[in-house]
Amino acid sequence: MKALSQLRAFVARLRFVPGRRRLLDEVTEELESHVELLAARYVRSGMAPDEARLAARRQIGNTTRVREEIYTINSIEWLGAVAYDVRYACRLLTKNPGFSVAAIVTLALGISATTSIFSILYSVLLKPLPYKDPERIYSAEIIVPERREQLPSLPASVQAYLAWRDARSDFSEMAALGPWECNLTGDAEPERVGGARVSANFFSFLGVSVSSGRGFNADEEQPGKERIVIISDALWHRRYGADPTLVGRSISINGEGHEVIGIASPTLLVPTGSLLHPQVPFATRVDVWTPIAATRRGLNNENWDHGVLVRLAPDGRLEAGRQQLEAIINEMARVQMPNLNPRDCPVDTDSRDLRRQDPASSAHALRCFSASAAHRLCEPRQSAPRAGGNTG
Amino acid sequence: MAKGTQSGTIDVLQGTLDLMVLTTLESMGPLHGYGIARRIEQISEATLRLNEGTVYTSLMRLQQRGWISATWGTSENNRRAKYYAITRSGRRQLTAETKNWERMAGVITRLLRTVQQS
Repeated sequence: MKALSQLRAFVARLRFVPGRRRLLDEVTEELESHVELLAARYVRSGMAPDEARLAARRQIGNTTRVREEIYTINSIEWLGAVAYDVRYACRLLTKNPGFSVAAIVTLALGISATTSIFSILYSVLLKPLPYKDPERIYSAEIIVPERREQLPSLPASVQAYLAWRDARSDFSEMAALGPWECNLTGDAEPERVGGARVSANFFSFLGVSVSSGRGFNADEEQPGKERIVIISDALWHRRYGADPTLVGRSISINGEGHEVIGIASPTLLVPTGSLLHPQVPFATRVDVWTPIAATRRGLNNENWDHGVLVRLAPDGRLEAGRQQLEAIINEMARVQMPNLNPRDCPVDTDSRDLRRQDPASSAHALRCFSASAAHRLCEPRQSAPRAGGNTG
Repeated sequence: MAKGTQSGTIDVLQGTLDLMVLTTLESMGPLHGYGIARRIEQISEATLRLNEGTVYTSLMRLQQRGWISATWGTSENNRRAKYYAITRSGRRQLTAETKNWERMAGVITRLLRTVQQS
């Protein structure tokens, strides 16, 4: 409290320092006026003008002393010393310009290198991801222990996602996303853009808003209702000239009409690359999102090329959740592994080996679901997470 | 301490001028330095010997603390003059200082009385 009032007093003093010469002139003026008024008063009471003036001066006392005191009140001792030091430093610098330039350049380079390294490290490692509760989000990966040498980990599949989502676990929420190649035709030059099939809750999961229009509804994951898209702000500007009437219109993607229901927020960072799983083959930019619509046939021919994001429940334990999901995928693999078409496996070099495995052992194989091995979304695992993300 | 008495007048006690100026501005409203000096003279009935120049040092100190503010106006002799007015924090300070002063004066009075009695 004392320190605070001292600080306040100091700041109050500082206020007067720059104008102290003007203040001094003003005080001189005030003192003169004072003498005049006082002398006039003495004259009125019968004194001779000269005598009155003298008496007035006597009464007012030593004006030089007053001015000196006012100057002292308004100066800050060390500030004068600092000013002197600065001047001295400047003189020295100009005396030896070669050395000065070398020193200044060294400092400039050092400072700029440090700040740029820091800003990179900050954006890569320290800055939280622009999602809701980023520290509770994990990306699932599947590890096949026997295949670990050749294939450190696999992304998940829609089937795995659905099985996980519908089971009870320590994760409160899950979202899936996979690549979708889009050929835009019709309204302008045909164009190939990167897209994503996402679970309907994708935007709400990340806590990312849709800047106009709406997000996906849960029932739009059903086959037949999925002919809708949300497009990126960048694509909306680039291809459609930020046309405000685009929402609600139909655009042709891969030869089929899709209704544009929303425009994604321009700040959306799509979790791709090493943020999600390096082997989910996303395009470098993602500009179109459509709901995942899982048909039975589609599921059976499914690729292990979907990222699954999970959010740990507030009271959930990561290891417990990992084991729950691991159990589910092991069960799934035991039942359905024969249906897994090895040719659809995203990593083709391993397909031959996978085929050779008998169902029993491969069921055993898919046991380690990610979470432990699953890297935390916000922690870089192999490379910088930011470098892996796309802004949409 | 007062430097003794000469012809019935006393010097202004160190540190009390600020309080006097503040009180004057509180009771009289905005005044210039001359006006303040006159008011103090009037109240003290010429028992105080005041170097009137020191009023301006006091005014400067009070401004720095933010207890008074200054604006330019015109004086009786048609010159421009700075008019000083007490601020809200100045009023607070005055209340606090007045209490302090009364306590102090009480102590001194009691002390002097015991000295006289013994």
